[in-house]
Amino acid sequence: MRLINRIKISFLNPSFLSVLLVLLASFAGSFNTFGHAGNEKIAVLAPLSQNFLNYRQDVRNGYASKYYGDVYPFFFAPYPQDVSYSQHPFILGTTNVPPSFDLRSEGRMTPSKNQHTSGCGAFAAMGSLESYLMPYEFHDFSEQNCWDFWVDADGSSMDSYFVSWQGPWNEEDEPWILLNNTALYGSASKMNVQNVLDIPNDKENLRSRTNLMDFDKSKVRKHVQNVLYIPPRSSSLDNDLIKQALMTYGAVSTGLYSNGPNVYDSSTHSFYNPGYPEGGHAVAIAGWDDNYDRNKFSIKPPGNGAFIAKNSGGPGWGDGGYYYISYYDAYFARMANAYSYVLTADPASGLTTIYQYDPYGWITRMGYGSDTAWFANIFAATSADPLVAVSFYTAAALNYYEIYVYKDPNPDLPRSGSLVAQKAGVINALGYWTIPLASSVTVVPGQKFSVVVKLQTAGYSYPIPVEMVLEGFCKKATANRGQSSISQDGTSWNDLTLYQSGRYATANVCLKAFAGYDPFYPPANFAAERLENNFILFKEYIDRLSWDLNPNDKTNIVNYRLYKKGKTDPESAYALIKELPANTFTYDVRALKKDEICHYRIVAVDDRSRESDPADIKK
Amino acid sequence: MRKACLFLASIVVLSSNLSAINFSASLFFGLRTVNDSQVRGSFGNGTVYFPCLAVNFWKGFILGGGYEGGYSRTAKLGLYHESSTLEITGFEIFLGYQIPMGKFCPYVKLGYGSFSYRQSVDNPLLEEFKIDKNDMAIIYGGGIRFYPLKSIFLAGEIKMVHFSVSPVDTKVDLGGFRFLAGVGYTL
Repeated sequence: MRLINRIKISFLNPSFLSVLLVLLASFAGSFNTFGHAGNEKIAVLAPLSQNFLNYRQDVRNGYASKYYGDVYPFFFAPYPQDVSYSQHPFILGTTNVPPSFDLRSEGRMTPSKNQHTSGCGAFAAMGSLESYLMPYEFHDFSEQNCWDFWVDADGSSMDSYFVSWQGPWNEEDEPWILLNNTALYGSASKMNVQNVLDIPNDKENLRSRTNLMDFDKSKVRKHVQNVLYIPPRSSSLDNDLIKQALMTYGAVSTGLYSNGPNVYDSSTHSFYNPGYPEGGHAVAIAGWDDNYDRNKFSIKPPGNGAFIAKNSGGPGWGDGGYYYISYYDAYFARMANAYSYVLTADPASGLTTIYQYDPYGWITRMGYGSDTAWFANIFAATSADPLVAVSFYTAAALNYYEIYVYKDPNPDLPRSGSLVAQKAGVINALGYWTIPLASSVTVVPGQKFSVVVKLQTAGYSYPIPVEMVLEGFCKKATANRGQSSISQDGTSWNDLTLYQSGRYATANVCLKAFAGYDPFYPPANFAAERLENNFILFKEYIDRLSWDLNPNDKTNIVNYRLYKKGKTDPESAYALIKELPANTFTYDVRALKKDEICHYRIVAVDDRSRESDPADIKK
Repeated sequence: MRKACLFLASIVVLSSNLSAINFSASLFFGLRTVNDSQVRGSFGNGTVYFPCLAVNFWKGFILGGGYEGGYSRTAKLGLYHESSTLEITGFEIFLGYQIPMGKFCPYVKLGYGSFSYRQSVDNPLLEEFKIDKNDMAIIYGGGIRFYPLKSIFLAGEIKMVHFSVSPVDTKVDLGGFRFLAGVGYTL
């Protein structure tokens, strides 16, 4: 009672009124950040990166021309997400980090290719993916196909080309194309020169990407199902995550600024940019040397140590296509609006169907002011293959998830219908992750099903990954009612397209579902050795093919199928030459002439007559 | 081969029309060596037979021709030790000079040969690799005839056959010495 009286008295006190005003003001302010509607908070978008905001303001003010010719590490505009918050330490599989390491000496790097004028982001990404697949598989993927996607998409997340199953294609399916020694970007530019250049498979290559949901999957050679994001380095010696990723997965794609006086020393192939934010570039990190001498740099950094990076200048550039970048570089793998990342891939022969509404990927994030939120997609089955996995992005170093799959949900209630699968777990890294369901879910074509995720991104208040039109970056995203929903508590749901009076009319949550079967890996270490069989008066030439069981494979292999084609023949010319039992790991292709060069392909066949992804040998 | 047959026929015709010219027919057997060490190591040296016609057409000069056959050897070759057969045959014509010395008649000769060489491997996969070719050879050597009877002679001959070939892309020396002994009849 005394307390109440005191409060009553205080109402008349001017100082109390001032406190009340401050409280009301702060309430109004918090509404802008995480507003309330009744008892429910309102979800809002995560802050955008300052670089991007500056860029967007310049474009709004008519200063877009100041950015012409400037190529950001991965795109033509600064990446909109501010990822600097994510500089939390987390541990990957390997913790024992040696003073030096080089993926080249482990046979886990593909040769450097020459981008000529642009496309570095695609070269860096492919460098990462190809490295991940080695040493068991050697691939040369098409940077052109990736670059075309990025250009045609006109704003997408850096991994969307991969995780939406647009690629990767093989290099020979869409080679890097130059006109007057200049790289061509995008379908449109290539359409303009198709009569000038001898572009193979031009009609297919020049396909419009206006509808990303309707694309040719036949040339997609791998399915990228997981992408590890490595936060920007917080200091010059904050390198352990990159080092662990290199040892665990392979090459790491990252960004830097490459221009500035004396930043590159061509005699030692060393690079150190102390602070010139010019000339965005991307490379694939291949290793490190903690003792790399600081005196080898044109501009002396404060200490020793360098990363080894594969550039996209071809093997004739630098040290066989590689150079050494100082740990003390001001921008290398430490830009506030760009993750470094590692792409991993599964066989394209495993998962057969992708259900998605976010072909442009993770553009931004939403949250309710808490590090936990729910999001869901309702899909219609297009195949009778069973649902086996779900994928989404995580924005924190520690993430707790719950996944629910319902069949035949009500249109506006993702958590209705019959619950047919659920799973919970922890992901202790940032990135894009595919989570296998505990058991597969049968569906019939046309049947509706919902995938619901409760995600807690520990310490980070924007857990919902979103694809949407974002002025100045993503222009083509679309959404329809009945696709994506969000919820604060998993009970009350909002269709994103209707949310907040249509403010998110183009938004979908980045949540995919997959149907299919176990991944079926290609035979490992597929190699050919050219032998001379000497009959004195003549020589027969033999390609001795050898391969190993892929250690990742859990499938019951019953035999191997070997195919052959001439070097210049199209892919369709591969002809079966032999079917071999599962315990055979070598085969001699005989009766070859000296100049007869062949390409070979091998697939494993399992007891369900399923063929694995192919492994190819191309000389 | 047709040229060689015509040549031998002409010798017979010539010898039958000219009484001053004597004609001989002989048959030799003997050993042949192979210069190429790989061929020799795999197929080995071998034996040959050599029927021969010759005419002493002017003073000590003789013109002749014959056919060498009999070298056909099989060996296990290559990475898979597959059975391979090498066969070498050939016609030769020669110009010689002899010096009658009682019952002995030594001679020297220089000739040209047209030799065939064939190699096959017992594997249908390699059917199109089979070698069946002709090439020319240079032959020189000498020998001696011994006439125990007026028209019948025994003979010994040593000759060198230079026969280097390039059937595909490597050079192989299929030439070698011949160590022959024979018997003949002089008209």
